[in-house]
Amino acid sequence: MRNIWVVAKNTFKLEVREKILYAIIVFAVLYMLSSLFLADLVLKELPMVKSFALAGTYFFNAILALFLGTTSFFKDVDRKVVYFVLSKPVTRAQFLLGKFLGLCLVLLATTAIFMVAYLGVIGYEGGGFDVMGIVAIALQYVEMVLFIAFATFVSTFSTSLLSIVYTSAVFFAGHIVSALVADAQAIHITGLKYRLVQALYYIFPNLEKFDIRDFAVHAIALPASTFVLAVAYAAVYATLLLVAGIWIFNHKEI
Amino acid sequence: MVSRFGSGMKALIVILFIAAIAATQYDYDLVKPSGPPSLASYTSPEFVRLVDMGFHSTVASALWAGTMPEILDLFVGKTEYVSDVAYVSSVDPKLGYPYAFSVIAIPAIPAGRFAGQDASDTIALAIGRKGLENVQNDWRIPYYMAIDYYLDAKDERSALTYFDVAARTPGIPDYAERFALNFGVGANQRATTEELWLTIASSTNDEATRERAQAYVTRLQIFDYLEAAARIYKQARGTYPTSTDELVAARVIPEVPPDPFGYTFVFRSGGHADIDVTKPSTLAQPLLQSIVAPK
Repeated sequence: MRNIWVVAKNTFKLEVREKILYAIIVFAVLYMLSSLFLADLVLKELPMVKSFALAGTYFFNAILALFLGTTSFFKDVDRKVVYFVLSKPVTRAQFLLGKFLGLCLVLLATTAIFMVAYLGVIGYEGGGFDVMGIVAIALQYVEMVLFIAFATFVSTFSTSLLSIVYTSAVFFAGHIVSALVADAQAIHITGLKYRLVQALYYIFPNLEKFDIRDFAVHAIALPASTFVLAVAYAAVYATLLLVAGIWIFNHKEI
Repeated sequence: MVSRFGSGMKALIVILFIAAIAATQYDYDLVKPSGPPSLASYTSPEFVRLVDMGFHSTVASALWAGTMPEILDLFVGKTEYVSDVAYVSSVDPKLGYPYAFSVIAIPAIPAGRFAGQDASDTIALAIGRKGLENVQNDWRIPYYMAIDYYLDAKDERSALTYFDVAARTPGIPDYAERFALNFGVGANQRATTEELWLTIASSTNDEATRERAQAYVTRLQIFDYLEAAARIYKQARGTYPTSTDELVAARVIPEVPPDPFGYTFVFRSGGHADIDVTKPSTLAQPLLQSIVAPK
């Protein structure tokens, strides 16, 4: 456990030195502040301001997760850090889990910054302390953790460029797969085609589970079980991805 | 000689290209649509919902920001606004503002502008009804519908019903709640309003609506009762009471009847009874009680 924590801390330190990280954070905060001007465009309608600001927190965190998840592992390979670390009494599993945990910590820090900016914008627009907004951002973070887990898994057998392609594709598929099933039911698709859509639905991570932005925007109460089940789903899925990643990494020649 | 000919040819080719660009632009201007195309001409709202990665409210808000100014086109007979509001609402049915804005703004457009369609107030009310189906926490939709019914459709009964819906919607500000709850309670309107509530109570199949209609009637009777007591008070004391407690202290009435909706009765100038909606209701359920005539 200590080894995992040491790798995580080093990963965190390494990633927060990246200038591009700050560029994205600054751009994200500027976007959030620009929501104040967007608010004027939509006559200060709070649900619309919330939707723009929540979209900003999600969009920029997704960019960060994609950037971090698909480059961090390969940077360690390029800089020979992975050889140095694995020559110490650190197992490959500990290294991989440490990388994952470190990246999650970086995203936790950026999420906290975005959340403060979000609450500032909504508070300024008269929305008070938006608890539902915090819950929505928290679930967005859980989604990003799953995203990082997938990127970490893909990094164990792929190249950096292909990792970006695979992770982006799964990200997109994860958001539309539940709508695809609903549409297939609506237009009465049956038989093999429907089974195929269903198979995709169960295999791909269903990222719509983490999307409660509309609940937060329209101030609709959310059952606690929705939140708990989404977190449990992410935990199980991320564990599976990491176990598979460790297995592949253990059998890989580096 | 050849060189001069070559330079001339190059210049001619450049001029021809510039002329071709200008001609293309001229042709484009001739065939381009005169106004912005409706949103539905791009793609279906179902497809937008499929690919917007869960950002239904963000996409709908952005589309609404572009749709809102189209309401001005209604004055010149272009009705893309109406279809675009339906489009925005299909992308995010819970977005309340497009419904509320349409309900209050469309009736301002002369009905004759909607050639071959329903009158503008009917279009507005149809949008409002759809809004009420989808959005339960935006008081503006029933409130503006009530105004439409009262001012444009001259339908006081429906106006009363929708003001009642607005008054019960969470988040309604005090000033709007006060107006909604007091709609039709002026001394000169009270008899008509009471009659309307009685017809609502006798015609509805919904027990909750009947109970609320009866509560409104009770409240109107309490207003009459308190104002009658205030007049008796004035005859004895020379001035109108400033609070209902003064009536009890002067033994004009034995007690102040409780408001069926749990609010406090107050007196405005001239002995007009009113309710104080700045204080929260004390009752979860309406209380119905018979009225004792003032002494």
